[in-house]
Amino acid sequence: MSSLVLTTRDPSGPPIDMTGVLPERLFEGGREALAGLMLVRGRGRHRLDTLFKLEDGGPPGTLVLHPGSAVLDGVGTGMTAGELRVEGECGAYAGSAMRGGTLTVSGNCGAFAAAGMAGGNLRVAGDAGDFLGAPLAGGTRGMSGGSVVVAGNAGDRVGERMRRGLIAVHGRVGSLCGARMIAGTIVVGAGCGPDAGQAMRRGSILLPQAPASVPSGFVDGGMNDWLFLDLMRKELIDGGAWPSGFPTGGTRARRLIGDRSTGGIGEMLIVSEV
Amino acid sequence: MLTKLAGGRVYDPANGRDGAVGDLFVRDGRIVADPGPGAAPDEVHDLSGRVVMAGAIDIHSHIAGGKVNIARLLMAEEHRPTAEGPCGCGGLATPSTHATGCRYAQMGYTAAFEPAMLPSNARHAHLEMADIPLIDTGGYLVLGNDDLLLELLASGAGEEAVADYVGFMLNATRSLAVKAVNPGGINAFKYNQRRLDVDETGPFHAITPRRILTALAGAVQRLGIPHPLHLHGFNLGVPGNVEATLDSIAAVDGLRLHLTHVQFHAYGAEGDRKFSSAAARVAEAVNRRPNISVDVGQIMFGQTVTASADTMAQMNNAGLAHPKKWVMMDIECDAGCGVVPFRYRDKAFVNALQWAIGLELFLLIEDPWRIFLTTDHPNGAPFTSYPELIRLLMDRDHRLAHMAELHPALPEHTILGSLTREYSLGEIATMTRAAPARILGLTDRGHLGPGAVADITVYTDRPDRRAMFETPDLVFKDGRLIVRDGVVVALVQGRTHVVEPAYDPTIESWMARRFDERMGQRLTHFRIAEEEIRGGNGLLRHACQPGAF
Repeated sequence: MSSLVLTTRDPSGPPIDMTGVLPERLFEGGREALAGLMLVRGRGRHRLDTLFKLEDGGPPGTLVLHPGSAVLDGVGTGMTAGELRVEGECGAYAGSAMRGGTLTVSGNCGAFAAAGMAGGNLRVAGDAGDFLGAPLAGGTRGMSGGSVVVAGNAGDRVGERMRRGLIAVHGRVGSLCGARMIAGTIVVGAGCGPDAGQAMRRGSILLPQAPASVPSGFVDGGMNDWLFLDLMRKELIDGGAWPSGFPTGGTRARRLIGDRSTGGIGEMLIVSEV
Repeated sequence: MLTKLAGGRVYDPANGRDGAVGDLFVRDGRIVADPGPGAAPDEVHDLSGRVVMAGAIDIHSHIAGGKVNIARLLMAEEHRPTAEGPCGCGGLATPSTHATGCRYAQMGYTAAFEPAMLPSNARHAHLEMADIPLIDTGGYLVLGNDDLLLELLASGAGEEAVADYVGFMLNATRSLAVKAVNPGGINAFKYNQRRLDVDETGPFHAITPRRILTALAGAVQRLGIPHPLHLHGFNLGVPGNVEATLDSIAAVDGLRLHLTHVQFHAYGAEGDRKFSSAAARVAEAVNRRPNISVDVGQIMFGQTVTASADTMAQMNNAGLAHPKKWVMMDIECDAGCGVVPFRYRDKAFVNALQWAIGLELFLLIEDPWRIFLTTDHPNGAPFTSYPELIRLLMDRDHRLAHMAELHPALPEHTILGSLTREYSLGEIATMTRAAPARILGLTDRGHLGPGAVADITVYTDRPDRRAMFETPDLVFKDGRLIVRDGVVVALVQGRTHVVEPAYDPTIESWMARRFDERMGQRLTHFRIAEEEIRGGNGLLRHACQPGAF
């Protein structure tokens, strides 16, 4: 099984659209197919091998980008299989419309990461920008499958109009987390900004404490025992998606139900108030 | 510079040539007579065995203006880069201006006209049309629901005052023709009405669509505008709307009238599904009346987006949106529109019958000078589907084979299977070149006679007409080669076609008052200066002939 390391020749300068640079191409056309891929950088189109140095190496079936850079947009867009690793940071649209495989970013990533994602795994060791797991422009649904784990913080509108899947942010998230959410699970380790869950229909947002101002469309369902929390915790711990500040045992949590202003029956589970 | 196009089979219906082998000579961007044996051409193209036609002209294609941009925004997914290509030029339904020009030229078209330019949006539409490379453009001004006109009519103004109003508006907005979209209906929609028939009084101005229609058709006649009133009729898409279509034909009482995307207005409400083809009735009415012309607005299967100023019809269609998203914008204003994405499905009975109705109209209307090839881009299908449509018209076997793949109930509801007509190359040249130029008053386009602009398309004669019309060998614009083997080889800019009918300027003081009171801008700002269009170097004026039509 082949593998390849792409070394960015110029990690600064105009952005590079990385659409199409995918690990599955290693199986389809190998090194030559990747080398000849035409990429847009700024206003020009360039062969991939003029922008990156190609070297064999890395674990089998893996494509490695080294070093990462904020100018690399669309890393892993539409990825279906294999593993893509970014050693460092990357730009916007990382893992957008991803359907399978694993994308790992050891630094920060920009806006629209995992936007329109339908499957696969995205792991970000740093922070993520706005619109994490939100719809792509023109789309009517956000993330519809797969899992995203961000070790740092994330921006506004995390999981907007999310349909299915998991987003776990170990740090803080910005405003409108889970806005217009249809289903799925969002885990936030260190609190969220204003207007979380606005107009959400169903789905779960797990928080360490209630938002400073509970949105007006949510009603307090009180403290209860939720047996599923044990199962969920086990699953999330295995996936590295259970924030360190969350309780490691117990099944009690406070439940806020909403957004009732739009007839929603989603929930915010306040897991640390046991 | 003298260019010789030697030995092609020339299809030039306006000059009575139907495939005869001959030479064409081009000098300084225009076709010239044979300069004789002494003249030495600077460039010779050997076109032996090839088919030569004038550049094609699309009489009705939504390529600019507010609704087109809203459609681009709404269909943002069409503009995403993909693994196949990073170009964000847009998909088939909502191409960018650049892609629009290139795709038209690649199919051998050298002109396309925006048929729904709302007065308040005219400046923007012109800026956008000027940004479309390679083809000539122009806009038809939408009137018929504007409060100023309706107020004028309601006050009992005479024909002369209406003609002055229309004349001023055409001049001010730099338009080529007048279009009426569901006249009276869109205004009624603002007062929450969902349907308005030809003789039904509107809820606010208390005048009927028939009154508006006859007033506008009369004004067009009086001003001598070459193109007849371009009518987007009543109750678009509603089963049984054929009655309103036939009423419209009768209402103009011999005045010239162009019924646009008539396929959407040729529906009966008969049969077990309460939806039937009324193409034969419309075709019969058109065949009998030489004052009527139509373009079809054929639907083709697949994803597209519908964008129309007919907010009443679009609101009715909104529930059918695919994907499920739609916009009704500025519906309380004079420049409102509705954008509803739509996917025509070949296995759906209604869509299959719409497809058949369009083809029935093409095949039953006898005179190719009065029927035009359109899909009402992007409403029925993107304009890039024209080559396939031409194949359906020219190849009965292909038509029948395609029909067999559609909804199984279709054959019982259409006479399409029994229609044996196949269009000839000459008829295609008429309906896509000579006839559009003639009905728009473009005297130096659409034909290949001496003096004509050298907009020329050269095809290889292939049995597969789709392949033939999809990829011309050569396309010339103003005598310059712009496409070779389907690839754009040079970017040039076209012109903007307009008419400037004479009118009595005293109407302006009445209008200036109304603009000050209600319109949010001064009349002087509303008027578009010549310098604003293509840097002042793009207007092409066509003569009006009062009383000639």
